[in-house]
Amino acid sequence: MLKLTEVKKQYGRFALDCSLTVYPGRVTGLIGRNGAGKSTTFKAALGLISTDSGTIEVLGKPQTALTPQDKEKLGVVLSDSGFSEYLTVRDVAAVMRRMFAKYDDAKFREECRRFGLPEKKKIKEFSTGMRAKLKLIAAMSHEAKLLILDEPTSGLDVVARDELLELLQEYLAGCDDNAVLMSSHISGDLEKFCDDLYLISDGKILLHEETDVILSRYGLIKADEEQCAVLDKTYLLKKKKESFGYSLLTDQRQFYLDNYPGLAVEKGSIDEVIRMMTAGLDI
Amino acid sequence: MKGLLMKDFKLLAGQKQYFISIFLVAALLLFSGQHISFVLTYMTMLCVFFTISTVSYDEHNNGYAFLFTLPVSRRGYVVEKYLFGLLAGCIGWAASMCMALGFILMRNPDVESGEWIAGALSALLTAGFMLSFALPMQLKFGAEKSRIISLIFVAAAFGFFAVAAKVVIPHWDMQWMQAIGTGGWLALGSVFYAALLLGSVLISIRIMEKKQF
Repeated sequence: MLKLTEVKKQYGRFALDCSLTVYPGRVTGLIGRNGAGKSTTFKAALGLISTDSGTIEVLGKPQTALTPQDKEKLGVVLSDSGFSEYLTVRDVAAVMRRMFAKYDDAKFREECRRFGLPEKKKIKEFSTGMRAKLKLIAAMSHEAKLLILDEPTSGLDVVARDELLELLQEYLAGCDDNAVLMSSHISGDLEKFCDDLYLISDGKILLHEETDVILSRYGLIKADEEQCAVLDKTYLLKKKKESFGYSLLTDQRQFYLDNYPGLAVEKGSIDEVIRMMTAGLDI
Repeated sequence: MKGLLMKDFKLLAGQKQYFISIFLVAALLLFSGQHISFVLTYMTMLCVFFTISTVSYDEHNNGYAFLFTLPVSRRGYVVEKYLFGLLAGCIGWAASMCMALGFILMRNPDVESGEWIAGALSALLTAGFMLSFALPMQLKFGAEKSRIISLIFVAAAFGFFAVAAKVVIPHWDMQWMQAIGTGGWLALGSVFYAALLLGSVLISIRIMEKKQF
């Protein structure tokens, strides 16, 4: 569905160097701190910026060869961009109807009503949550094969976030072959939805792993200097100095649970993996 | 293309008050004795200027980034802008023509038909010329910078033509110019005008294709 191979882009001191694949029927997450390169990756994938080298394939075609007809199969949400604020929901519907052959007007309007988006109000009068809902509803209104969602829940309160995620879940439940690439800095959103996760930091992919694997096999060891000295380092990925000694990230939590009784080994979480992979030191 | 045109017409519809006010001002100018061709040019140009302002609407809040994720190519976007500009200019022109005809029927002013028809045609041509010049400027430099650069450019063009009129043209052999005849001049003018529009479209496409969002 989407394949970025060694895509490089230099922006002053920031350098993107990214390889990433999104397969049909899967939800892939891109996680990372602010400024890590998530939005640059999305923009590269969508052809909004030029790249210095590497290849980008979207829906089996080179990105640069995509026609408007091909782009009808994409549903996109960008965190910092959307429909003109001077349009209303009714105007957006009229535009979408003429842009997408498979646009479902009845569904779009029904979802807008369901999520309390007034048809005649200009988007500039919408709250952040209403704008985010409109973007997602629009992206899912024309039978897109690939959804590319950059921070779709950014700036939303918990209730609005849950509503949006529910909407996304309904969409995913209805179509098995569709794929989603989604970024978020809220790990809970990604834990809930993503089959696999890419962790990006300073423009580089630091980790690619199945979400289930992170949650079941990864762990955080908390050890003092003495415990650390005798630990088998084979399955340790990163370490970080703490007041009590070291935090150590492992991708074989069970190994340390079995072999080092009494050692504090916590279950892995996406937040901890991000923290350790970006701020931790090599073993 | 249809979707983009719809978006621009929806934006245009959102500016009802602006268009009502220019219509009223045009009527006021007409009934206060202003020349018909001036009013025609005024209305047509303002409609074309609205097209140029839709570029600002598209750019607002990084709107281009989302716009180009839709089934829209950069080339298609540029072509649509020219098409919309010509359509908006024609609508403004047609509305002002109706107004002018109404005025002539009501007041029966002392105007030669040839004169105001020439004025009407020149209003259309001026609008097209304006679009060819202003749209690439707006796409390249944005609203603020393009205003300043346009002023400098227009001043330089005036200066060039003023010098040309005084220094070069008096020494021209006018016989060949007369030999071309009205038809020949019209044909030359049409070719020049088409080349200008086409050149402008190609420059705008190049500008858009280089843009990063």
